Parts: sequence; structure tokens; C-alpha cells
Amino acid sequence: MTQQVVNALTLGSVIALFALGYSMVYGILTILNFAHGEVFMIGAFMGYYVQKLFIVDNQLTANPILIIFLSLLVAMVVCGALAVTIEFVAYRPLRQAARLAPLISALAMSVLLRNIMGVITKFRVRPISTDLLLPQRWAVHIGETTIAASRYVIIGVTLISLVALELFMARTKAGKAMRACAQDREAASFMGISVNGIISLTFLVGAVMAGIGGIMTGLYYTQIDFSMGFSLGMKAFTAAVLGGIGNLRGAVLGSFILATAETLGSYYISFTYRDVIAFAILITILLFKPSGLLGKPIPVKV
Amino acid sequence: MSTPVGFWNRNWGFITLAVVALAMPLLVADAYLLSILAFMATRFMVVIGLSLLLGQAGQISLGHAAFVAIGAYGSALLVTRLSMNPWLAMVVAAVLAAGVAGVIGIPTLKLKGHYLAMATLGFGEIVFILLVQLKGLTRGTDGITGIPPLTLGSLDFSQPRLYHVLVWLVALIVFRLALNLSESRVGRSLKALRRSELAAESLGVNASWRKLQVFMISAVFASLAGSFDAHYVQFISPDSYGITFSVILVCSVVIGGFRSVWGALWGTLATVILPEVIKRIHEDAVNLVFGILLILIVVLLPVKSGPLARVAHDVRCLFHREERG
Repeated sequence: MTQQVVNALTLGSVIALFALGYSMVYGILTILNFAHGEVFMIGAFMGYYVQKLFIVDNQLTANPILIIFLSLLVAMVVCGALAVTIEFVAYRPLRQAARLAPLISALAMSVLLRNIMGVITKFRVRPISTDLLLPQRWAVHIGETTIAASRYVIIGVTLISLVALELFMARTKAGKAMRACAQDREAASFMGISVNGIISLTFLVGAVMAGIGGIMTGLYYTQIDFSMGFSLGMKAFTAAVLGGIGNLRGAVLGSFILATAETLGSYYISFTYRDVIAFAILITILLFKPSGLLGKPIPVKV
Repeated sequence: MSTPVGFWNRNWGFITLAVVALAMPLLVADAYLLSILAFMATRFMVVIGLSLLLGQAGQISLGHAAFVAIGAYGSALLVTRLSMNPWLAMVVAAVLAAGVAGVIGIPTLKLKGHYLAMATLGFGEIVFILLVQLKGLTRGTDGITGIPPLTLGSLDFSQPRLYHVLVWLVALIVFRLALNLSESRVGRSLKALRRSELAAESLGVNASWRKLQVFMISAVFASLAGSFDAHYVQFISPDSYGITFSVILVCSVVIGGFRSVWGALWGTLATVILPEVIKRIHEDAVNLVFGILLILIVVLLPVKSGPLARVAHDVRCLFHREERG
């Protein structure tokens, strides 16, 4: 049972880092940023490329902690830059366009990036050497349960990231400006907030979290491929909707609930249907409480 | 009043399309080409429905492949397991698709925002997973074989030429219905909704009901297309009904332009012919090219000033046809 709790917490962590980006962008622009999944996937690949530099003949040539730190750093920078570029190219020109336009643009960006990465990686699965980076002997034993190093590293890094994000949103001026823009963009601009700057910042922060999430996902699943952004993205997206899309704490809560449901479901009900659980939650929440658990009520019609 | 000349002026496009489409079997002898043309007709049906949804109702479905799957699997299962008449099975599947669309559409179309997009995305994935996992019913990835072809009296529609005529006739009827719909009361009220939901509603247009109607119609078109394909190919497997197909359908609508239902025709032509060409150059580049095309169309089209304005204008001329009266 403790093992299941650890599993749920790990999966929830990975999803939460991913889901935050969806929720943040929806909160400020009310668009579904499908390209976020691809940003996440590219973050995971940064982990693959960094570790490849330090692995010779199946041996590490540097301190594993250092390698993970470096992967995180590279992923955060690359994902951040990528997301800001995507916003500039695909969403900013459509700020005044009909509501449908940015949605299609997001879909197009997602298809484009996924297939570019597909061509680069020859559509093959790539391994992440979690065994080398976080060896078995680092596992912690609590009574009957064994907690692998990858598990507590993922949970720990996620916790630190979430606390940092919470502090950023609550304590800094930029965080306050982001919240203001999410509430009312026009009013925020009257208060002298550079709305475009804040939108870029939102994409940046969301992508940095996704970058961290990508590295953690690689460590968790030990293999990555070009389509992981979509398959895991659907779960992250479900988590964001479940918590109330646009609400950051909701996204984290939704992620852990989803992960718990999936872990328990695959353990007690059926392993093959574990993916159905996530989508069933998505449909159910959209049919009965589309504002999610913590979201503010959605205006029904005009 | 309706003089012969007036009739021709209003309908020359449709008549030309009908004549060309139905005359194809006389001109084309190649079996592969004929099957692509027949496949184009069913794709056309799905794209017409989706084009109505995007262009007329301003909503997007990211799980339309699932409705095609309902048509295909519904027909196949009813015929192979319950020995139902194929034509009846087709209708039953279509009714089922409409019902499912209703269940998804009623709550989500009442809300402002992209809730239909979210719900259809999830729905599409659930259907796909079920097709793969419900092995007892769908035989999983092995697919269903031995689906009997359509027949009518002594007419056997497994014959390519005959099937071509049948499926294009149906596609033309669907197209005519869609054209009429966009010019009817429903079409006009949807047009009003796009301009201003508030103004239209104050004039008595029931916004969510109109959108729901279009969504259900598009589900029926998709289901019919799925049934026709299943009976002709006589084999179906889940691979054809994943998210990739849903996205390609949206691509078709956007590439063709969704201001007018005619865009569905250009979009279908483009997304059926383009992959055949691209495949010969690079096997994996098909989706890449679609992605680039989509970005170009969506991002460039609205640009009215700056260095890109001229390019944007040219693209606009290429892709956005004026509505034909």
C-alpha cells in the first residue's frame, strides 16, 4: 500500500509540473496551448542529450547529481526560450483574431514540433539511464517499502519547484502582475502593467516547469519518444481541467488526484484500462462540473 | 424568379462537380486511382460536417475520428455479429453517433470557450483505447475482417466503378444538404451568432441549440463515411481512428478554408492528394508539411500590415474562396 502511495506521488509530481503550464496559459489567454506538450517532450530530450555527453562505455564520466542539475538547467533554458518563441510566432499575431484561430495555431505548432522531433530522432524510442544516474543502492528502505532514488528525487525536485513557484506568484511583483493579467488583462494594462511582457513571462514560467517535468519524466519512465508530449499531455491537461483550468493550485491538486485514481485503478481494477481512467475523468468533469474543483464558475452563455 | 439561366448561375459549381465526380469511372481505369477517388468521397463527407462545425458554429472537434469509428465499427459489428442488413446497420450507427454527439454537446456547448474541443479530445482518446482494448468485441489491433460489401438487389457495390458512383452520389447529397443548411434559417442564425452572440440571442436565436444541431449533423456525416469505408474495404482496425486522423480532418477544413462549405472540397482534395505526392519524396514528412501549412494559413492570413502583409494577401487569395451564392 505504501508502495502505491509512493507511486501515486511520483506520477502526480510529474503530471503537476506539466499541468501548471496549461493552466497558467489558459488563465491568462484562455487558449488551449497544445504546443505545451511538445515543449515538455523537448525538455525530456534535453535530458537525453545531456546524459549522452557524460556516458562513455556505459560508465558515467561525471558526478550524477551534477549531470541531473545540468540537464535541468539546459531543459529549463531551452524550453523557456522555445515557449516564448512559440508565443511570439503562433499566438501573438492572433491576439485580436477570432477565438478559433489561436486554437488551430496551437494545434499546428504541436503537430509541427512533434514531427520535427520525430524526424530528428528517427521516430525511435530513446533510453534514459536512470540506473546509472540514480543507482539502486541509493534506494531508501522504510519498513517493507523500498523507495527508489528516482522516486524521492522526483518528489523532492517537484516539491522545491512548486514552493518556488508559489513564492514567485505570491511574493514578487512579476507574480502579482501575472495574477492581475489573469483576472483582467485590460484593467491590468491601465495599471501600467506591460501585458505582452507578462504573457511572455507566463509562457516562460510554464515552460520552465515543463522542462523540469520533462527531465523528471525521463528519469521516471527511463525511456522517451517524440510522441510522449501528447500521451502524457492529455493527462496533464485532464489534471488542469479537473482542478479548474486557470487555477494553479487546482492544477497541482488535480494532478495528484488523477495520479491517485490511475495508480489505484491500474492496481485494483485493470492495468490495460488505466489510460481510460484519465479520459473518463476528463469527460465526466466537463459534463458535470466544467469549472473544475477549484475553478471559478464559468459564465453560462451571455 | 427561377429562370433556367438563374438556376445555372446559382448552381454551376455544384453541377460541374457532380458531373465530373460521377463521370470519373468512365475516364479512369486504374483500380488504385479509383479506390483513392472513392476514398476521397467518404473523406469529403467527414470534412463537410467538420467544416460546418468550424465555419458555421465556430466550434472545433478534436475527436471526429471517433465518430467515423462509430460508423465503421457500428456497421461492421451489427452486420457480422447480428447479421443485420448493412443499410440498416449504417443507419443505426449514424443514430448512435448523433446520440453520442448529443450527450457530449449538450453540456459543453452551453458554455463559452473551448469546452467542446476539450471534451471531444478526451472522447476521441477513450474510443481509440476501447477499440484497442475491448478485444472480445473489436478483436483489438487485429481488426475486424470479412465485413460484407453493400448490395442492392442485383447490384454488388464491391465492384469499384459501381461503388464509386454510389459513394459519390451520397457525398454529393451530403454536400447539397450542407450548402442548403448554410443558406437556410439555421445557417443564417449561425452567421448571426458569429457576428455577435449577444445580438443574435436577443433576436431569439438559441445559440447552444443551433451549435448542437450542427455538431450532431457533423457526427452523422462522419459515421456514414465510416460505414461506407468499412463495407468497401471489408476490413477495419483501430489504427485508422486515432488522434492523427482527427487532426488531419481539422487540417483539411482549415486548408480548404471554412468560410464556405466549398472549402471542404478544396481541403479534401489537398489532404488526399498531398500525402500521395509527399510520400514519394519523404515517407515521414506528411504531417510535418501539414503542420507548416496550418501555421502559414492561420498565422499569416490575418496579417494586414507589415512586411508579411503582401505574402499574407497572396495566401488569402489562394485559400479563402468567397462564398458562392
